[in-house]
Amino acid sequence: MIRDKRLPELFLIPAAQTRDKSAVSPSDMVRLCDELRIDHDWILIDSPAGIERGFRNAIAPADIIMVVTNPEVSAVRDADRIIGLIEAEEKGPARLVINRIKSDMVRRGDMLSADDVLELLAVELIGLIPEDENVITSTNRGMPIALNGKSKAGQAFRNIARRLHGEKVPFLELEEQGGLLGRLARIIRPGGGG
Amino acid sequence: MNRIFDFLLGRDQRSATLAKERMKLVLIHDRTDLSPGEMEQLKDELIEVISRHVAIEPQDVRIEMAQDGRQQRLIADIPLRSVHQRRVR
Repeated sequence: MIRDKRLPELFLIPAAQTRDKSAVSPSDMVRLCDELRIDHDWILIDSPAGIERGFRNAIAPADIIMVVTNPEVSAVRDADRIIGLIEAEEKGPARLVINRIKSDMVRRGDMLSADDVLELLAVELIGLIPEDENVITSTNRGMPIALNGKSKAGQAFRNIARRLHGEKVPFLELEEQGGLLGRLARIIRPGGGG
Repeated sequence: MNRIFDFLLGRDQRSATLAKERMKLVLIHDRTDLSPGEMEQLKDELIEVISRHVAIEPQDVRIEMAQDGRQQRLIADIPLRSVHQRRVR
């Protein structure tokens, strides 16, 4: 396990990139996680995209499954298949994270809104992540976006963590108030975002 | 407001609305694994079975898939032939 430089309680276990994914079985994953559970509060497993062995390995030991999608047609369709598979494996209900929402496009009617996606997929929402350039600059620096106090996406990720913890956290107001009027409205009514 | 402008300028329907409509259709088929051909066959067989017991209007039978949360529902609307017509025959 690799200890994180910043957070003393965070450890990483990278998956082998050279070996075939079938080198690990779902039951191996359950055994591994059962050992890790003894000393750790949370174990996050990043599933590869798609519905192959890697996906089955990732969900085998999971108590809670979060599905991440973009508000794009092909991504929502894939998410629906994954949610169906999670239900079939009796690991449901999946919780949904909608990533990279462009509020200006949503406002113009050119991007599916969070409500649209939720209506289509009919699952519980756990996070709304706005498109945020800070994600790229943070990864350039090798800095987790969740540790960036000024980033809206960072805030959204921290909110997901709090919701997983059982806290009731309101969803971020993604409607970026553009223009002078919007900014004035914000000054008058501060703390609108969550 | 935007919609009014679009209407005045004769612009197309907003793309998100189109996306949602397209998605609804696609997801229904993804979730059920029933091809349009199989749906037609199902409809024909239903008409045949029900006709054995009660007189119906076969040309007005409608069968469609509806979404109720994550559950899919097969809805069949089968009009019966009226009693009056049945007597005439």
